[in-house]
Amino acid sequence: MQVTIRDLTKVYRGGVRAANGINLTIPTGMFGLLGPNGAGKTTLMRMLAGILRPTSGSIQVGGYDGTTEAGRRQIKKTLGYLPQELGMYPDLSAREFLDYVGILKGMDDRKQRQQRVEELLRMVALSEVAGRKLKTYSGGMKRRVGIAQALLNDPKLLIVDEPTAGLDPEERIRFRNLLSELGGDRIVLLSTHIVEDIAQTCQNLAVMKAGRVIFQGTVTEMLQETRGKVWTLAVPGGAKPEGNFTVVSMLNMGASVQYRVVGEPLPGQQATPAEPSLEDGYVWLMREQGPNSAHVLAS
Amino acid sequence: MTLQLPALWGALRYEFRMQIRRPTVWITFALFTLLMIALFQHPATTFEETYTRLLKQESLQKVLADWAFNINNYLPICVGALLAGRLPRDRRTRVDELFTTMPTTRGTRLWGKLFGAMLATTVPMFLIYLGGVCFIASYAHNLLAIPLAFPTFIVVALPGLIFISAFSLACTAFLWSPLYQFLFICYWYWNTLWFHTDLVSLSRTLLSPIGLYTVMGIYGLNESSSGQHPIHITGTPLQAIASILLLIATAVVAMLALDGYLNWRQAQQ
Repeated sequence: MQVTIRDLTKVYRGGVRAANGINLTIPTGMFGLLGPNGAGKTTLMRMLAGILRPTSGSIQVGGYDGTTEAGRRQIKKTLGYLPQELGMYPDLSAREFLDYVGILKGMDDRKQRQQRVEELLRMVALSEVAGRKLKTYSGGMKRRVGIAQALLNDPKLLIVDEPTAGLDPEERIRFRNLLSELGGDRIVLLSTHIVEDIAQTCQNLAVMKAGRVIFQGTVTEMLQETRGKVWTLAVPGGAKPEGNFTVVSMLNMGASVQYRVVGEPLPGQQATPAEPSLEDGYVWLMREQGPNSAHVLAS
Repeated sequence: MTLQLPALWGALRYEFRMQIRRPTVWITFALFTLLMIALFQHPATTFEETYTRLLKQESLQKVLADWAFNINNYLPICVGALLAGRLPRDRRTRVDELFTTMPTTRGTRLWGKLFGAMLATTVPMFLIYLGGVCFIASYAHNLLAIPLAFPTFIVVALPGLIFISAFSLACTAFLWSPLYQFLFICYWYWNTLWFHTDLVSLSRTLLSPIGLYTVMGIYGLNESSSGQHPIHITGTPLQAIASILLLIATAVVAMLALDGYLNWRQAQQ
């Protein structure tokens, strides 16, 4: 299956253009959607999930047209969606909530539905507390309920919006691994502004900024774009170096401070080329695609 | 509006479960019943006095209809007020957005919500009614009162409750629910409790949610037993059926309008 998005635009009331002619092809497997807050990632996901209607453009999920009511109905049958802020009824237990979601997802056979609920509760390690009311759950536990509800119907398209936001490091790793396992035979669209999450899980990614896709390709291609633009600078005394670059990190070494920068250091500065990371690539793209830039790297 | 029956049944069960577990539902009915008892402490109008007198004069069926009618004069205030928060809660907890991504239509969920939440809220009302029925059965030494009580309640009270519940869901789609609750209680007071014949009121029309035409047309009641609210209206069985159908049809229209409005609002986002 493949998701094809063409010239997708969403203009909210008041004229806010949250998505501005997005073109994107999403193949099977894990696909990362990266971008700063306000880039339009959530708007794009909500359009894919059928919550928002696009102003113009087309969405094709498999053989279904996501801009028509009939197409949306078909897409919903194969969809799992984990929003940034998961809605749940606080007075239901996790088991009850999942059962209810199963019903709404069209899983009519009670026995099969209950088996699937128990299977997913085991998978997200919530079996022991499945009878407790959701309002007593921690943020991490609620996220796990969220992924369980998204997986109930064994979706072919799984959309997860900022799934690791607010999780502690251990929970984050656990969650990332879980998503990676799921990405084998379905499309998992992972939206985040945490670069590390994409670096650890996705082969393909797109970067969004101001409602547009400014890069689409593989992680390797993105790193290739950034090669030769990442440097380390050791500055004695720690005075902040100047130049046409962005400081990605700084490490205090005692007598000097080591800066990692993306851009072009001044000729006199003793800069050493460094191997780019995905974070460097992201910073480079954000620099290049400034508010006035017309250059789009999307392939 | 496409209805998916298994999902409708599922939504009904869960809405029922969530509503019946709410302590507010039980506390509201308990407090309101105590208030009613306190207000009607006049010796001539106590429950015991009224129904022992009535049982000597009227048939058991008529007495039960009168009791259902009296219950339906007051307790729907609680039903309407308690249902007002159900739709805004879905927005507040964000389940509305999540459920929109699922194949079950919004219409199916709305009907499940209507019937599930309404039936759960009706349980305390029905238990209060059943308490009175038990008294009537024991005083009349006639256990037939128990099986008769069920269809009487369904015929007299249920159409009005469906009507009220549909409006309590629909109106809170565009009205702040505490404001709706206030307006609803005012409406009920003006329309039903303040039963003056010289005022324009829905209560003396076929759209009376208290079951006025039903008790007159089907059960032959022509005056409220308490004697406080002389009705001064006569009703035929045909009018009773028309009233029931009209109440249900209006509820259906309100629900269809709600579904249409919510779909339109979603499309406008």
